[in-house]
Amino acid sequence: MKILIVEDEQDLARSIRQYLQNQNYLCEIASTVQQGREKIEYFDYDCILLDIMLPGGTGLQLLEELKRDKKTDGVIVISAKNSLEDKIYSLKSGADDYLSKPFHLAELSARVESVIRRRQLNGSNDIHFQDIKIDIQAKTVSIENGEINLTKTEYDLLLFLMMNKGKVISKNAIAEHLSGQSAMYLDNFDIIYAHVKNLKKKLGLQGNYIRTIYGTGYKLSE
Amino acid sequence: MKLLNYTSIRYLLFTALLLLISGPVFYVVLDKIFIRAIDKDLVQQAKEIPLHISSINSERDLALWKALDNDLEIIDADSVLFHSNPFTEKKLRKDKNKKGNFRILQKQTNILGKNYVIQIESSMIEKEDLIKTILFIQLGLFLFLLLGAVGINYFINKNVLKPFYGSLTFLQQFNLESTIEEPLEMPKIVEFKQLNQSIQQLTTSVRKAYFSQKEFIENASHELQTPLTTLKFKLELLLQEQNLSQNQSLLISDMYKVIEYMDELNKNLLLLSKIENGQFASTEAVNITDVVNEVEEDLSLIIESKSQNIRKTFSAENIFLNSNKMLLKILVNNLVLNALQYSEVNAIIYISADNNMLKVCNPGKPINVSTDKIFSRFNKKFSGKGSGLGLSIVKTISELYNYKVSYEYSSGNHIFKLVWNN
Repeated sequence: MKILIVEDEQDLARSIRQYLQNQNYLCEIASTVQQGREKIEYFDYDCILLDIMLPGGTGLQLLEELKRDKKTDGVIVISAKNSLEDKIYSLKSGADDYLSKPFHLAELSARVESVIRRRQLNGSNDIHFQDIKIDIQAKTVSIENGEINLTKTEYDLLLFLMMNKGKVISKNAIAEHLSGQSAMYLDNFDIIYAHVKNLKKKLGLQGNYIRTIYGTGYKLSE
Repeated sequence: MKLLNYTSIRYLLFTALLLLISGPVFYVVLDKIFIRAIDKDLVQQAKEIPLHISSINSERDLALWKALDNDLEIIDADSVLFHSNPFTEKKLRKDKNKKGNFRILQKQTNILGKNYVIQIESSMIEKEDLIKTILFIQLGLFLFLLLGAVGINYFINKNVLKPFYGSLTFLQQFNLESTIEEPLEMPKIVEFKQLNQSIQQLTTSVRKAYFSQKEFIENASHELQTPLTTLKFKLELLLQEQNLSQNQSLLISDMYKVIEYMDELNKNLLLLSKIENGQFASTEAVNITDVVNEVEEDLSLIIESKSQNIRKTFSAENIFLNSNKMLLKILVNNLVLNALQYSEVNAIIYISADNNMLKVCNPGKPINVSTDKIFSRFNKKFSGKGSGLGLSIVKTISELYNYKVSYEYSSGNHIFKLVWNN
């Protein structure tokens, strides 16, 4: 899987690359509109992360060019402005998703994965981890002895963990992913703990793959 | 009272007062002048008396003189009180049977070895008539002058005040947030011109300061976004390190908390300056019941985390109000979030709405904060929960759409009301 990060802040771009790289993604960085344009012209990417404010133009310009050239690369627009107009404009212009800074890398990773999945027309809509299988289309989860019944929160939580497998996900990132609100409004993370506990119980033996990282979060790993 | 009326009425009153005083003064002065003239005349006549006396040689001559000279009276010195200066006396006039004022000058003399007082009289009736006429003409003149002066004063003031009213209207219509700089007319009168120049300078610099402050907040929060994101990313990468000790993990988790707070603070500052910049201009008919339901859905994890409950009562299924949907949602979200944050575990939060208002009620202990301070930024009494900007944003949005937001504490409940139909 190839990903292009068009971002002028080197530090941010490298951090994103570092996080995504060991998720089986190959990441390239372009730090200006011109560099991005050249790379897009010569290579195909599964997903392009486009920052809006760039030297020499805006990411939205690149998005328009992509669509004009009928490229099928998935696009996630990243903005520091958190403006509704940019979001609406990006999605209307054909971006697959929109994220405003600052976000969690775990969130970005999950978004990248779902964009790529949506674009793979021939691929299956299943995500596997060991014996856990999620059918994204049907929103069902099954383990070795068949389908299990999860609440919406548990399903979202499992999907988030699966899309970040092998990564430690902070409780903050989980809380924000589940509620859309900053985790600071939670008095404590007991609610996350409770949902993880229930999820583990329902997953049976497979639940052991969800590991608790002391003090910080959870990780889905072998 | 209008300035023009104020000056005109004052002018009229004081001028009238002046004229009222000047009337009697004028009368007194005129009277004095006349009396002096009469006295002079009397003295002149008196000078001729010795001439007459010298030609009197017998009692007969004296009797003849008495009879012929009407203006003269020769009285025995013993029968009358002598005045050395002229004096006024009211007495019967000779021609008519009427009393009138006479000016009298007495002279002591000796005729034929006998002491007499010779009294020269002059009727003052003509003088009084004259003064009366003069005063009458004077009164008419005064009235004419008074009305004329007040009228002239009124029209001059009216014209002089024109630029003043121009400046007043300019200041009344001055809108700090407007980016259009209206030119101010420069009048001919130097002082008004200077005033208008000063006003123009002041408004320009006030506006400049206001916009640069706004720009600063916006730029500062904007510039903070990237380092905050970097910090967040690095922390997340640090979290991926194998073999983190428990202590290190706890440190990372603490840092997360702080960054999250800064993040939220920054987002809210940006939001505030965007609202104040009018970047959410579009309005539509928004269904408040939908908004409340969406907010409840968004906050479900937070509600669940404290086992709290939300009870909603709507007077109708759909309640529309004209607003910007995103802003209204932020407003309701902040009110409900506030209610959730400041009530205990298991608490029930009541939300009700009708055609005029939305009410958010949560049980809790009374707080020692004045009603208007509760909406101010960074109220230290509440620090620790939230960014300290939530209710301030509620207030800003309310003001934008002329809603009235209020807080009260009654029978164990904190009640926030948002009224949109006044």
